[in-house]
Amino acid sequence: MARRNMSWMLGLPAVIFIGVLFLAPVIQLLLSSIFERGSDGGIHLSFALYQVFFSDPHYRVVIARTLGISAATVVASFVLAFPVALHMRKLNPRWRSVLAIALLSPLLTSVVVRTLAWVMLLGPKGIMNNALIAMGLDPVSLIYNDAGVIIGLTHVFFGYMLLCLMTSILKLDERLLLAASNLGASPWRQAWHIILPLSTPGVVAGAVIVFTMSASAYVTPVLLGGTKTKVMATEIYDLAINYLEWREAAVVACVLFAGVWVIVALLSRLADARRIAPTGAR
Amino acid sequence: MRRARLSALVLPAWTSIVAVFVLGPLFMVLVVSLTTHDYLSLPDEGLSLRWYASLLERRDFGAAALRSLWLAAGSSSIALVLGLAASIALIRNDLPATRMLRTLLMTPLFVPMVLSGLAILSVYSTYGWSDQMSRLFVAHTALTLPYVIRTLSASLASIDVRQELAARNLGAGPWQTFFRVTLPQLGPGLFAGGLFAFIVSFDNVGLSLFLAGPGSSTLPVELFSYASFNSDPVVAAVSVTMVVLSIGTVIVVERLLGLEKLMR
Repeated sequence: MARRNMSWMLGLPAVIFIGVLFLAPVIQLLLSSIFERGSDGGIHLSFALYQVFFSDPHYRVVIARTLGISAATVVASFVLAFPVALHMRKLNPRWRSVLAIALLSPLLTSVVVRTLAWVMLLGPKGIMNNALIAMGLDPVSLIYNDAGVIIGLTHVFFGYMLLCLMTSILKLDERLLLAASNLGASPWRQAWHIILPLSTPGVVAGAVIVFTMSASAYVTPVLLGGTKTKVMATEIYDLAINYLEWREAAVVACVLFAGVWVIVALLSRLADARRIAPTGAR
Repeated sequence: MRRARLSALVLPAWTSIVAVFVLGPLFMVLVVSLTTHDYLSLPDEGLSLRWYASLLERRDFGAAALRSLWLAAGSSSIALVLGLAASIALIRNDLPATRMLRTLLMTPLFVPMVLSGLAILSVYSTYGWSDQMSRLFVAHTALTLPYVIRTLSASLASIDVRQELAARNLGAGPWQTFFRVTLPQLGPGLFAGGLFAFIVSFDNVGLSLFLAGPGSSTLPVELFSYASFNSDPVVAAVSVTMVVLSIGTVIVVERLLGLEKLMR
């Protein structure tokens, strides 16, 4: 009994560290967005800043763009990663791990480096446009717009999607697919009707990670989106650092935080619903 | 039959396209950093290290690199100590209360960095905590702690508790049991957790952008600000240097601690 009490105490330094130095400031920031100091010196509940935020058409565009870019990044990274995970099933363990290491190792390089690679490639004075001009063709603009940000975010977060798909696709029971192919199902039918439904947990986990990370990404939208392609994270940074409007920044951060988690909850519900009612009914 | 052969080609072809998409741009950065020209270009007139040489003349990048290494080493060490103690507490007491505390310790992973960076910046400032370096240390430790706890909990869970009980039965004290029975078996977990924490801190830009100032900027922040206003091969050279520094640290730590010895 005494030993148990002692080992329990070992958790305290970390809990106090995170609780006091990390969580408390986050909660205080969230609260600061809904409380304001009145003229009498007292503190009142006030949603005035939220009213201003939601009635500003500029912010509505920013919210829509943030959600759109994040959703597009989820779709793009799924389309890239799903066939790769399918291919990995067929490889022997050795080649499978070589491929996994090659495709996942960029996760260990900084987001700044990976984004700058695309700036060098797609930028107005970048490698691709220099090559196009040298060949006598017109330069294309895949940077400083939504497309550039989506390309960059897909490159940055693709690995997380692949990781999630791999964990659920590689452990599927091979006999199910053998049965399906014995019954005459083409590889496409197997992928669509057996592998995809059974790997829903992995797909949802990947979608949740890529969506939340894309929605709060800052570096990639700044470097590949330029000054016109504002998303919520860039608004938060601008308000806080350039205008020192911490409470306004807190409002945008709260809306982002709440919005992202509502969508994550909806996605998880969707996954649960699919698991209860399997696709056999179709 | 033809159809089957066709679909057998589709997956490898798609995988190759994805591999080019994922690795191509990074490889291109390496190639561009070796260019002889003054602008972003492929080195079509021979290779040169002039952009790396120009880095040596710039004090800002060097100072930022040292600061980043120091910050990553410091915060991941603190996170290892805090995380090891916390993981033991969490694994050896599987109660509803400890599971809640575990969730609390994981929150730095779930709060977007724009939110936590802003929170640490604004709330610490209102309490008069304005020293940038110590704020960076706290933020990076909080960010890396969940990774350490995840890795260490996994390796702790794989250790048979009965070994510790046997040691205690044979008369070893709690500290002796920890240092001679538990800790030696945690080697790979400590190594992996510490390394992961180091890389997460070294590469972090989301929190550092809010907390670093002119005299305290880290290498990713310095690179980010430079690249926001400039577009020349210096960007490529710094990028390659960053990747080499983080991979280099992995190799040095591996050599010093001997990963093989730990894995055995």
